[in-house]
Amino acid sequence: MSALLKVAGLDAHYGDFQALFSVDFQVETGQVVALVGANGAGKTTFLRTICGLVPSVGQNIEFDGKNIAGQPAYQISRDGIAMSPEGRRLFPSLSVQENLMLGANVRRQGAWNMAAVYELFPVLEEKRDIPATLLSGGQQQMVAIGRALMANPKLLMLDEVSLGLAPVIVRDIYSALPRIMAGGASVILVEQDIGLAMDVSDQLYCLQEGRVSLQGRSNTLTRSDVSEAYFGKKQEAS
Amino acid sequence: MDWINAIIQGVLLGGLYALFAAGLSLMFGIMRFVNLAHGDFIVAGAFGAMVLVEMTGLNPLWMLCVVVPVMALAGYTGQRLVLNRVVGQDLLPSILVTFGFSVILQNLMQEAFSADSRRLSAGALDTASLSLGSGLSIGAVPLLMFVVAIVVLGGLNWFFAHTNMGRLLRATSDDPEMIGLMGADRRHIFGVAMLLASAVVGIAAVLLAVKTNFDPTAGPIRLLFAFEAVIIGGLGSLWGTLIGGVILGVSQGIGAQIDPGFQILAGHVVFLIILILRPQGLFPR
Repeated sequence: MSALLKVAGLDAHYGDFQALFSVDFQVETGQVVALVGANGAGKTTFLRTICGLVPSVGQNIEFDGKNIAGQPAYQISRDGIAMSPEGRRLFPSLSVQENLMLGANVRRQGAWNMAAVYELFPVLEEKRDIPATLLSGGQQQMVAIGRALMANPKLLMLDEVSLGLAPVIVRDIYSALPRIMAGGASVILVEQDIGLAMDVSDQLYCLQEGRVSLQGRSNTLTRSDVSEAYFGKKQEAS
Repeated sequence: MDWINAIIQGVLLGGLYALFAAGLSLMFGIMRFVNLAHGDFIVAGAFGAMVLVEMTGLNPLWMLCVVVPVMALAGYTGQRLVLNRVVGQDLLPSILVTFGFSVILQNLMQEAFSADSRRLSAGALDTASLSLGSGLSIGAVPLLMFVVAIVVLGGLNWFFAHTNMGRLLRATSDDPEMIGLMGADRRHIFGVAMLLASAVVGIAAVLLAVKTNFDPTAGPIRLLFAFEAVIIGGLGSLWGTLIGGVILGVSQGIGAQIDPGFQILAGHVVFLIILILRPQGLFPR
């Protein structure tokens, strides 16, 4: 296995506020990597920095053998990183189908196209002509994931896909993960439900106040390791 | 009969106002960008057409073939080189820059063309008219303006609904940050928005030059009409803009029928009434 994404010593700032402190992070090809942490720990900032929405000029973000730090978001998305962002951020004036079509605007070839996304989430085909933001929360999340898949990414980043959704819907969405992996994407997922995150991932990172407080193989970590790293009881694991 | 005539002329004039307004509406709708030089761009286009007519001696309507692409190209280039630096969360920088453009353009035009009022002749079309019977007739030029307005607005609507760039422009209007994740360079998308708006400005400019008198300081009043049409119609709706233009045109027509001095005032009064009763416009998106 080779490293698809290799981040070394990443800092991120919003104006004078520093949100990330020297974060080391790695995703191997074919892996699911979970990123957990309390609200405000820097998870979303981390994803936004990787995809170019938070500036990272002069830093070290190696993706697919090339340093993408400081590149504009449109270039990074064309290189093969797609994100289903926090809050979904669908385009309200576009229909479901049009939202999905825009995902394909990066013009990358691969397993995913409109038919494949509709096969993954059949309910979206029924609602294809409806404005995307009129769908239920779970369906909107499916559109956001589908839109990211339409880019045929090598790395798919899922930010809080279960936020505000009923458990049964969350299970539906997560049941799509194996087929997403089969389509050739490696995945970073940010998840509040630690148990779920540990179940579906190969590697797990925990962020606390902008620093990595825990990192390891998901099947070797225990719930209490993660809880401690999460809530910041004095514990330094590696 | 005079009243019906005033209303019909007002409706047709509304087409021209809708063309003034469409460019403004596109810029604000997609980029949240207020262009105070919009009227001066229109007048500059009209002077451009005048120079070309003096050089070639052709009918001014032929100048659409030159003025529209030149304006469109200048719009794209200007957006990339200058205006992209001032668009963003804050409206004030774009207002200041375009206010500066407005002052500069007006003075340059006065320097180059003097303050004289001009008009271009479209030849036989100027006086041609279509008789509707019982003393009513429609001038060919106003009718042409109205038809052009419908074709332009319909064309833009089709473009937004059915092309990939159209979808990108709508998405940019919704959430400009997210379109980066769609592999689209916002600076280019903004350039295309300005290109479209400027092409419409070019069309409006040539029609203005044929329809009515213009002089180097005629821009701000066109800007005002454009703003009023956009606000009456509701921001973000192109057909609403046409309705807004028509309401403005009809109000002015009826005002002029009461007393020629009321023409412009009547438009402003109706605009204010609509602004008070329905501040979001008649067809908000």
